[in-house]
Amino acid sequence: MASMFHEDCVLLNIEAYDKYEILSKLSDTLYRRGFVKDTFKQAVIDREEKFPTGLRLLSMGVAIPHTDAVHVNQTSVGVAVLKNPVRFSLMGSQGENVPVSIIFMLAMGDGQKQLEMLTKLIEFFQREEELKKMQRMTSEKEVVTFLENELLKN
Amino acid sequence: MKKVLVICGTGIATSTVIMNKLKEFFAEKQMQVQLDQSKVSDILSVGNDYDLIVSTTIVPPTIKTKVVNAIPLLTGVGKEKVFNDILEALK
Repeated sequence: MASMFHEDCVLLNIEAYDKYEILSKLSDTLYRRGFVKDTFKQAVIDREEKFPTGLRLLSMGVAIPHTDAVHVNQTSVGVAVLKNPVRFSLMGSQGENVPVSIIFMLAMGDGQKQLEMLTKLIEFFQREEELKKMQRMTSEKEVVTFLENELLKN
Repeated sequence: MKKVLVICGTGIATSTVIMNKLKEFFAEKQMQVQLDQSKVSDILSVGNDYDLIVSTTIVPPTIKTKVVNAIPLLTGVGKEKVFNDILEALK
């Protein structure tokens, strides 16, 4: 599985005032590398409003913002590890919020391999102690290497 | 054969993951189930044709088919109950 994670698309220990700010900044990292089109950012933000992606794990919140493949040039994942949690709306709820500490912004092109990546990522959420390690990392490179190893596990 | 519809907001990401999990689950249980995937905007036209809807988003109350919330299958928190609810609904 070719790497979908890139150091330039990792925002480590970042501060954000609200979800719009972090969604904007994270989209920018994917756009600057050419992985997504200029329409991607607004599409992700709009979709997050309609179909929120906040997920409540046992002791923390994560989010998996994404949008249609039409806005994507190359399948990739932007990662944000927030210094302080930011409120996202809870998936499948009406107005409930969850404080989110780690965001995986999914830029998925069409294709079957997306399923593999997505499934492994979702499975990773069930290893919360491993997820939390990301909050103690000190370099983007460390985060990328860690994720690549974690998601290659079975 | 029972018919199950898996949906999420836009039919892209989470419904794909849930579909896969359900395929494995039904195979393990050796149950023959028709599994379809869609997005919530399609549900008004086809939702009532199914025995069960498994969803990661809110389903309009006009749909009479039983709905199971699939989000615990993503987070792992409470997933056993979801599988049990699914089996119950398909009896």
